[in-house]
Amino acid sequence: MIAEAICDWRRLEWPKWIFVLRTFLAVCAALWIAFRLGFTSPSTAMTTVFIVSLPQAGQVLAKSFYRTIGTLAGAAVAILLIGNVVQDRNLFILLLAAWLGICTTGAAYFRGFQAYAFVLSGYTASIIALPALAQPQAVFDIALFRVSEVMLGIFCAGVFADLLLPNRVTDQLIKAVREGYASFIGYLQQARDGHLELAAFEESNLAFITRAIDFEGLRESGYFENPEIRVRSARLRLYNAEFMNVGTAFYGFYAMLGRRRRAGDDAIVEAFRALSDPLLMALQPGGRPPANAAQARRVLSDLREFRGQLPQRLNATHFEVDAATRAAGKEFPEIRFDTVARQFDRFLEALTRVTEAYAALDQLGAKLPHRVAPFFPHTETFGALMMGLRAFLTVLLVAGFWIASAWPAGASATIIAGVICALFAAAPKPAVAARNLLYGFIIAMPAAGFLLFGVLPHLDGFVLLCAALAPFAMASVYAMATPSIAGIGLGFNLLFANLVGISNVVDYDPIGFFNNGIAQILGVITGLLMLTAIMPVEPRWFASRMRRQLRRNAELACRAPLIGLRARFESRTRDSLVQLVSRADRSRGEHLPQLAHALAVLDLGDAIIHLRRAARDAGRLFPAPLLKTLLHSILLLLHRPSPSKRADALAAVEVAIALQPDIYQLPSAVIRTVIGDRPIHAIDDPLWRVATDLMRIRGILNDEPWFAEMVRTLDADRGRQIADELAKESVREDASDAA
Amino acid sequence: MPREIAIYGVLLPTLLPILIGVAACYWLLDTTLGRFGFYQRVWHPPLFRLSLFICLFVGVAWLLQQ
Repeated sequence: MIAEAICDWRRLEWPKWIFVLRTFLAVCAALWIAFRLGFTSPSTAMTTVFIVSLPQAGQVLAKSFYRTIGTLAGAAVAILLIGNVVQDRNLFILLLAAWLGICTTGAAYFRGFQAYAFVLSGYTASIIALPALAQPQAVFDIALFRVSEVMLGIFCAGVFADLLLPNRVTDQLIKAVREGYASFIGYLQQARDGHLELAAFEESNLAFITRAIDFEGLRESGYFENPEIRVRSARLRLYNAEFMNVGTAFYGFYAMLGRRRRAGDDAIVEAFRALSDPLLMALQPGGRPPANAAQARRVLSDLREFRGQLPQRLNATHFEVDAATRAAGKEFPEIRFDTVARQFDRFLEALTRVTEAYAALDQLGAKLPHRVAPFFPHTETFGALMMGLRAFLTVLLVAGFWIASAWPAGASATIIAGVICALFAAAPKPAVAARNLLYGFIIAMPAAGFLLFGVLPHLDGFVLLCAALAPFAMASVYAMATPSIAGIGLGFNLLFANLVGISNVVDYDPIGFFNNGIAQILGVITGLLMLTAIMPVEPRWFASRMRRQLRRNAELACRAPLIGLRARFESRTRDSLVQLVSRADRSRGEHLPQLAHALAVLDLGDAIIHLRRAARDAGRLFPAPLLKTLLHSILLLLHRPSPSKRADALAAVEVAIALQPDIYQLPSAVIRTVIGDRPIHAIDDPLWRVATDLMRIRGILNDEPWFAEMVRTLDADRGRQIADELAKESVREDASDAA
Repeated sequence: MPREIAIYGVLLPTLLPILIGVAACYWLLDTTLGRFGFYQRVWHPPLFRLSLFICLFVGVAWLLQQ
């Protein structure tokens, strides 16, 4: 009992306390050096330590790197502004607000640490330029001290994070590679055993996508933490891209099997299930998935062998299914079998490539197995521009009030209101995050007042100063390490460090203290109000934009140049998908239809890219106008989904299928190689690929559930209109069936 | 070594440009060492890397002071 409690504490609380201790020591070190070097406001160094302190060493270094960039850019802009337009106060405010707007747009558009660099450049520009407005000749000094203090804070935080009982991203990254691969195999096994309901299948698919996106974040942090990760960065990226690919390929395969099952082709489903047994054996030598690159190499050779024998295996399966269906008195759906076979082969190819990327992870010098486009998660442009506009308006509003009312502490309020808009531009729930920050600010004010006027006057010397800071700093850092109250901790630290404003020359100014504190709290409140009042990120609006984005990605698959398209399409779609699903209400199962819809769009885009590639390889054998018409009709469908557009797209697919030469009637030399008297599937033949890809697109377009979801998401009026259309169509279908 | 240097009339602490230059060189050196697997032979890589950086920084500053 007690042992268990200790174990729990060790697992959950111990890392937090280590983090608290590390951060506190870094704060003390930063303060001490800042005092020694005679910086004007050591509290900036202290704030920096608080802000860049994240649980893992790599995260600290990555955030520090981007903070440096943001600070330098912001300082440069501040000097430019002061240098050129300081005479005209209104123009100055307007330009500063515009710069904050631009930075907020960037912060909303990018994700992760890059977004942070944008926040910082906007923040730094205002924090240097606004105080310099009254004394323009001091702008260089202010900028220089600001940059130096930030650098000092970064240095101290980085050294302590990397040296004092560090928690390394590298370890987590290695674990993520191993567990990602193993759980994917587990998922294949479950799918094979038939334990997966469709919803559960889609859930796990989502889990893989989230994993891939988190992995990118880990890789970015690891890049700064460990030179070994840095030199492997391209390899890790390759692994991740292939990991995403194999997920899509398997989704396509599994969805296709589902469609075959619904169409009553059980023989095909069973045949492929039997075919995957030896594959699963190869993936788990000795019943366990590979745990490192060396074991992955062994699996890789087995996989290659399996794929080498695939034509023979498919051939044997083909005959079995053929015999079984004929015995049951039905016609053997050869093209349908081949369509599934093609997707199975594609899945195998993706599996081989991800294993190849895994096996290459332990090599330093050798060349990459193949190149890969960078993963680039970002928000859609329009939404980001709106966020920028909102920040611009917020700053103008607060600054306007400041100028009109000659408010002495107006500058602080302006800065903070702008920061709130930039910092939470891309947050899933901006209002909640801003409210937490506000609570932190409200708690910080009396605490800072107590320390500043009640405790510090009685103390003398650096050690006592640290001792006095300790309870406040440690409590707030502990809050920062606890996810549910992290925002409060951060808010507390920001205002606390600012208000206490420790410096070599102590300046007791209660009036300034209150003015400043109240101004900053008012600034947060204004920012919060703007976040909720102007263009709030309403979940439904956001979801509809994200779905639009998903369809746009699939449109991209129809018309962008083929080179590098695959990776671009994959990473973009996954990013939109995760954003869409992460904001849906999971407890009510809201995310499931959306997920199904998103995965189907991903599948459709994937099929289109494959078709376009096959058509390219087929050259003149597949007429270009045919492909063009087909892609155009799908584009129209994606642009504004409606049943009639879907009917058009399906008709175009049917025409293309009908105009294709019957691949089974072509001279056997083109389509099949005959060994003995058994035909072997010519998996690489372009015409065969075109035919099977067309079948696949037809299957996806014909799938009811995701289309229904796509329609449901259009606005209510349109939705009703479409529902009528659907009803009419089903009547027509019934009539034609009767005829 | 002067405590501050003037760049276009702006006084900068001399250590700042040195720090930036050394950081760039260090980054290159660090990546090269990682590339050839040097850190696999070091007892405590983070400590080694910090010491390397300090040696470079202090060394360059000291040499310039001579």
